[in-house]
Amino acid sequence: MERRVAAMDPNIPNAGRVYDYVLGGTHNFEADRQAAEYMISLVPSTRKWVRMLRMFLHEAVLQLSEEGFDCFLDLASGLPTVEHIHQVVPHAKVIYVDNDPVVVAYGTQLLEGNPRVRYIEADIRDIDSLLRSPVIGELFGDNRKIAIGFNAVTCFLTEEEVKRIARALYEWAAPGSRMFGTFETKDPHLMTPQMQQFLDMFDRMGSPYHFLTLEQSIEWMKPWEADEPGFRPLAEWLGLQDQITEADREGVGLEFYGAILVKR
Amino acid sequence: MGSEVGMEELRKRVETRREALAARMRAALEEHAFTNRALFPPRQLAEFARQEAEAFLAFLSDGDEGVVRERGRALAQQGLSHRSVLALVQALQEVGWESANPEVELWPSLQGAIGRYTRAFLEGYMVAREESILEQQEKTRQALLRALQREGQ
Repeated sequence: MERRVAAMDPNIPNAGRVYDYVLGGTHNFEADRQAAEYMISLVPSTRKWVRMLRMFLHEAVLQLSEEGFDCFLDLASGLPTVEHIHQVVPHAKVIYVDNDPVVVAYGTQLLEGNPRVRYIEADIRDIDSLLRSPVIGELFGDNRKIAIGFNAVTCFLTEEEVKRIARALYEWAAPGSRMFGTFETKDPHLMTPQMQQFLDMFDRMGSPYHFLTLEQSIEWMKPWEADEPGFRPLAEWLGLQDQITEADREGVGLEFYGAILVKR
Repeated sequence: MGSEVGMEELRKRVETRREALAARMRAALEEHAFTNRALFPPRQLAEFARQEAEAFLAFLSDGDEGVVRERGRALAQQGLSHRSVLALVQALQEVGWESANPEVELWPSLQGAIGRYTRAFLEGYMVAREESILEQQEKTRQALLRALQREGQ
């Protein structure tokens, strides 16, 4: 408990609040902002890429809602702020999941009084335990035709973890379920000192960050299949292709993809 | 403020540049698309630019600053960034200048109208932004306090 209370210290950067700051949110403190600005100093395009992640989530959730999905299970959610799912589709039932006790405790309080939203503290590496959580049945009932959020997740997992999670979710979800995800890639043959420092920073925080390739992203998510139009750069999803410059690729061929996957 | 006839003349002049105004505003918005919040979807920027051009033309017709203020407030709530707002103002001034040319004597009146429109828009925008920040600060404070209390029990 002491560790958890200490972790809520606003003088210590918290990943969820750092992310909130980069997204343009206000649920953050000076220590979070300094940490975020350090990241941005190393990889100046960070803000663009991170904001595209949230814009894609927005587009995907709206599309799935229009297709009739009203139950959303979002993995590694971060803080439920800055136009997260329940704000985009207020009528839907949403379960957020994160393994950071600070984010969950804080997020739960932000969501207090909203009967359609729950926040589960769980590590998605232990996906079977998560899927057995009584909270899922309480909110979704027997419905397993679910839209699953898998955004900016693979970069924090190993190949074996991604494959096991994807398989477990596939077996758990009903046919017709969707998974909307983002996949952060770079050219595996390219690296710069700044990008290495950026990655080292995540290592020091105990959350190693791995870029994938597009081929790995597609392969690791099987048996989920990409719905039309497949894995596409986020900028294409959003109609912002012209706004991504070569400098934004940071000398390592950065590209973030988005896909809506389906269980046949 | 100019006479009604003056405003109507200005409206007619800007009307001839309606498409250019919408296009310039669209380009300005696209350039700053990443600074907006996600509730301001990139795919709707063209439509928004068109609406913004219409809003300015409507202002030249009726001079209603209250409507403009309300528009600024609504767009702040939707997540339009201050960078986008500044880019829109610049687009408005550029197209306004082009609309007045070559009769440069029209420019002071048009500049005055653009100034009133911009001021009303910014008033509404800034009030909404301030309200939002204060509301979020209070939510943050309460959430942190309750989370600490809960964890401390």
